[in-house]
Amino acid sequence: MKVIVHRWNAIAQWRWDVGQDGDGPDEDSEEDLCGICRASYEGCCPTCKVPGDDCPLIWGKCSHVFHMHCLLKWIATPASKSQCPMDRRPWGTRKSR
Amino acid sequence: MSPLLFSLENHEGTHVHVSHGVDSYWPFKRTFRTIILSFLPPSFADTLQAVLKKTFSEAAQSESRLAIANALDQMGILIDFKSLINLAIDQEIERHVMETCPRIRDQHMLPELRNWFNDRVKTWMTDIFGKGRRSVQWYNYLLIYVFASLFEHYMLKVLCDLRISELFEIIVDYEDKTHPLPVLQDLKDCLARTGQRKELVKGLRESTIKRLLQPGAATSDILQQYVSTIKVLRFLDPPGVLLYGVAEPIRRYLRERPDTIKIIVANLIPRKKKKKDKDAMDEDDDGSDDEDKDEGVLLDDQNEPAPIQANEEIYEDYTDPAWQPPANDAEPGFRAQKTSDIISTLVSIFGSKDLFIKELQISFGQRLLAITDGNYDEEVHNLEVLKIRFGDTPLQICDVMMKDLTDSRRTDQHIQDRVQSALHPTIISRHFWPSMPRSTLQLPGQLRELQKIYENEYQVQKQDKKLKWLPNMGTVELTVQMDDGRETRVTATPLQAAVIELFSDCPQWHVEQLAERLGKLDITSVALALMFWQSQGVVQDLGAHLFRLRETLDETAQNTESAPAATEYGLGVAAESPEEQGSVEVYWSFVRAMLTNLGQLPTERIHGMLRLAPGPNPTPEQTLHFLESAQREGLVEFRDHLWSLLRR
Repeated sequence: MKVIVHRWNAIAQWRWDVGQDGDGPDEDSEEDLCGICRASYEGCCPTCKVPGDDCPLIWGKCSHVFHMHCLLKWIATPASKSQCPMDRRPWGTRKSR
Repeated sequence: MSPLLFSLENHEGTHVHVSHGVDSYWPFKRTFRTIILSFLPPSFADTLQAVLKKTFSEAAQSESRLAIANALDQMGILIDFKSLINLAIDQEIERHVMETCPRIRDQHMLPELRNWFNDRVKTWMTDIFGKGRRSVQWYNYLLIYVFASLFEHYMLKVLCDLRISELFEIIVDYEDKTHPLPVLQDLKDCLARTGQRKELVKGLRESTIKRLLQPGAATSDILQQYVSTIKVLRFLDPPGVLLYGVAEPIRRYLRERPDTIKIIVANLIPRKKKKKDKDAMDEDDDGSDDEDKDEGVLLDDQNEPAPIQANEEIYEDYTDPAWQPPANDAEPGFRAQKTSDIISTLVSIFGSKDLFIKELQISFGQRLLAITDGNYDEEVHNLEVLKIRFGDTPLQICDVMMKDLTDSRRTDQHIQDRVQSALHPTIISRHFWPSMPRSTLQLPGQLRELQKIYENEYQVQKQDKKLKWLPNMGTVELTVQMDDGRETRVTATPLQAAVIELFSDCPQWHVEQLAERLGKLDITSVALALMFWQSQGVVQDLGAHLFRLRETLDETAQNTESAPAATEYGLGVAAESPEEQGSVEVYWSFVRAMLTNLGQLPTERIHGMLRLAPGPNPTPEQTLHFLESAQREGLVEFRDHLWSLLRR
């Protein structure tokens, strides 16, 4: 007996690849939120309306991840001293992982 | 009639003789009247009334009317029976209206009634009161004119009462007529004269509460009637005072129904199919039109979609130059609604738009996911219309959904260019879609392979992202090729596909094994998937939770002997045709699986589950009948309202 699949209309959600591979039930755990706006990574920053590529994430060398718009806004304020808002280390963007 | 007239004529003779002296005329007349009135038998009034009635019905007998009136007049007692005469006219009017008007909808009755009135009633009145009656001379013609208008008013009132009592049915009939029925124009004219607005509100309110706002009425029917009520009352009374009075209980009732929002929302979005059908049926006869009526009926609104009015505003806009004070019979809470847009009115039932927006998003999401052919134009258009109504901001989320779909298509095309795959996923932004049912389903074999390949390709395309599957959603088109060359092509759910995929590895499975293997699913849903394949003739039930592939047809024949099929137990009793026979078999394996896994079940539960079974849905009676025949066969037992399997 053989099963031949012709067409499969599936449904999937996209996730930002933030390093943790746990496929487990970590649905809305702390890890999933941007540390600045407290919105989900898969949501969008307060100024955006459309998530995903229009409101991308930015990965720091310090392993922290934020919405790019959130972080750039933070860095633009003098008080930030160009530090990561989480660990106060100088911010450096990770190019590739 | 004649003896009466005769006796009157006798008295008349006396009268004529004595009435010459001017001085003595009035006292004489008074005395005479007193005497003659005391002479009249008590039955005279009734008799006179009957006679008067009779003179109405025969148009030609103008003379007899004159004779009676003359006699009464000459005796000077016409005035004494004035109220009797009035009553006779009233009764005649009532009789005529009730004879000609009830249940007539498509005809203007008012002009006809007026003709009749002028023709009959006025002539009659002229005969009785007019023509130089001595005692009534002073107000002769003027009186007839005034009286006539009073009686005409009464006629309108009778008609108005009648129509008010019929109004509920009129509204039921109103449904899809776009032009106000003549009957409503009549009612409107009557109302303008008689001012029975309070009675209308009261009457319609009562009949609506009594006949419509009942648990037995479907919410869609209530909504339909509400919409018709709005249209009808808007026509009768554009400022909406009447509507306000009638609508309040309906709105209050609808607010308590749990499915109101859902139904309104379903009607907000035009049905795709319907539109297409309509185009196709333009030349077609009307017969098929009736079928559409049931769906999307609320929105036969011809208007351009307009923004939904902010009904929340508490204060009236007094700077509006067109502002008018509410009508003087308006209830305290009444506020004139500027819009006649029905959708706004429906949405305002719930005070705010938020609930609708939420429901709209959910229903929009479901509709988008149901599209498999990639043709979203219709939905894009719908979304535009909805945006006009609700504004852009609340429907932002739907924009994201739309964008997800187009993005998915584009991504899919890129990926298909690199690796041909049967898998075409819709990739959605999880916070922007209605929440999806979670499942632990783990797809086996080639299905998982397809997913893996696609996942990897996706990560090549979008380096920062990964995919998380919703394994239980979507549809799979597949063909099952049996070793004897039989092919079955079906559209299955992913779970069904997963089940049959497992059978391609191993021809025999235990239900529990399957459930375990597919990611600790509950047994019932696996059993359901097995039923599906059983009904397709791909697997067979060996009993004791064992299912086996029907690899060849002869094997089937052998196995039916060893496997306890329902027919052996005479469960075919209920079945009349071969197909039904088939479904009885399916039902039985279904019921057995159900009772094995869940122990004891009440009839309603079993019926509910049987409706999930492939094949025709059984009615509750059929289910019961089926269970009872199984009981007679000693397969199941019924105790304490619960069915359970008898172990053999």
